[in-house]
Amino acid sequence: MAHESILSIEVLGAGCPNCTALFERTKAAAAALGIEAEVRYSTDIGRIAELNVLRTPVIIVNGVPLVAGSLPDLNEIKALLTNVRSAA
Amino acid sequence: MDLFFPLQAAADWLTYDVFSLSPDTHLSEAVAFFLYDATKILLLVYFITLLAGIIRFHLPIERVRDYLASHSLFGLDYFLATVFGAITPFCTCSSIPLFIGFLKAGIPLGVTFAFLITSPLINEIAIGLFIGLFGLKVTLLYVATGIIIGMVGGAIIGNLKMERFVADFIWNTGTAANLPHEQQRSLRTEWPSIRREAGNTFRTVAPYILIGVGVGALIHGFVPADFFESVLQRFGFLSVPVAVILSVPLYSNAAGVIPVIQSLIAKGVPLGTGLAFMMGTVGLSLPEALILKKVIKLPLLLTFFGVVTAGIILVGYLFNAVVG
Repeated sequence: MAHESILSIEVLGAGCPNCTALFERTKAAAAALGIEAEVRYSTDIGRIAELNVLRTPVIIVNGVPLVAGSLPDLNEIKALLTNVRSAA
Repeated sequence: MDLFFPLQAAADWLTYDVFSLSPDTHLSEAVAFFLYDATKILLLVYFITLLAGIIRFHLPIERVRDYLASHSLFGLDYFLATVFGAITPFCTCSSIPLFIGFLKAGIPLGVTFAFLITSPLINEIAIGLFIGLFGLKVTLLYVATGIIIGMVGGAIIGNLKMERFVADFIWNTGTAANLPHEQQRSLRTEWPSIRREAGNTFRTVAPYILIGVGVGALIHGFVPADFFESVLQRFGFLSVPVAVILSVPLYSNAAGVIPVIQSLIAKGVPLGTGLAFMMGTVGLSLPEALILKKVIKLPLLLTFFGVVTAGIILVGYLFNAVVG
């Protein structure tokens, strides 16, 4: 693939154990898929307000919330990221 | 509880036949109690957690928000908010996005707090433990109490007009589009992830439950009946507030605390005092307070905690007076 369609990945949470677990898993999933974009972790509440999500943690890919309020396992995160890639 | 008769029989068989403990000793009483209660409660908690997952699938929080935002029904919205709060599972991590999302959708501050007060008080793990330990009647009383505390607490906060103590950025940020909504999902396709989440929750709380039931079993087996009655008499009238204050630091261990309290109640602690302690454990959470501090100013935070604490203490006195 010449062009990487995933430009940014952000995990947004309130700092609870679920949120950090999701961050670690998302990093692992991105690494396994060879995604070059850096996975960032943020606890910025202003972002939560902007995105209009009611549940955290949230995985945000290219600025769009992908999963909110659950802790999918590694394979599911990989599948979700692969979906975003192939949809682009 | 007849439904659990086979478990009781199995626990007795293990205790008296397999372990050959002689009946009527402290040890055999404790062992039989532990085997029976631990299995029963773990089963109940697992099934109720699964049930909560199914409810969450059918009634996602986004739908609750939209419903509450479009139905301001002369105070009935306080009741609905608490009922929704009771049936939607609560996680401290989500209290901030919930709080922000509700206010931005135009749900009044008081109604939002009614939801936030009841949601942790009535959660699937507490319900599973209550049914297992106290039976259905006390569980229903507990649920009704949690709803009333939420409604009254929310109404008080609503009437105090404390909107100015909410962080400004909540009112100022624009509203982005909703989650790009997932394709039509069915319960069947979602079932594996519902089961996985229930399994995760279960694995997190199971050790606490086992420890709690273990301590409870020791109390059941070894502590003389009515022992705590004499201890508590020294605190007298103050025992309810003392119980609530002591409960606050135990937040994260609610699953372990409830079985212990049940055995204390069996040994002479009044039901109201015990109930107040358990409600304090699940409803007054310091981590939640610290998280909410990011979106509300101190006067509102203190009012929120004050109202819930007062409600729980009142409930304690009330139960002691009525059931006492």
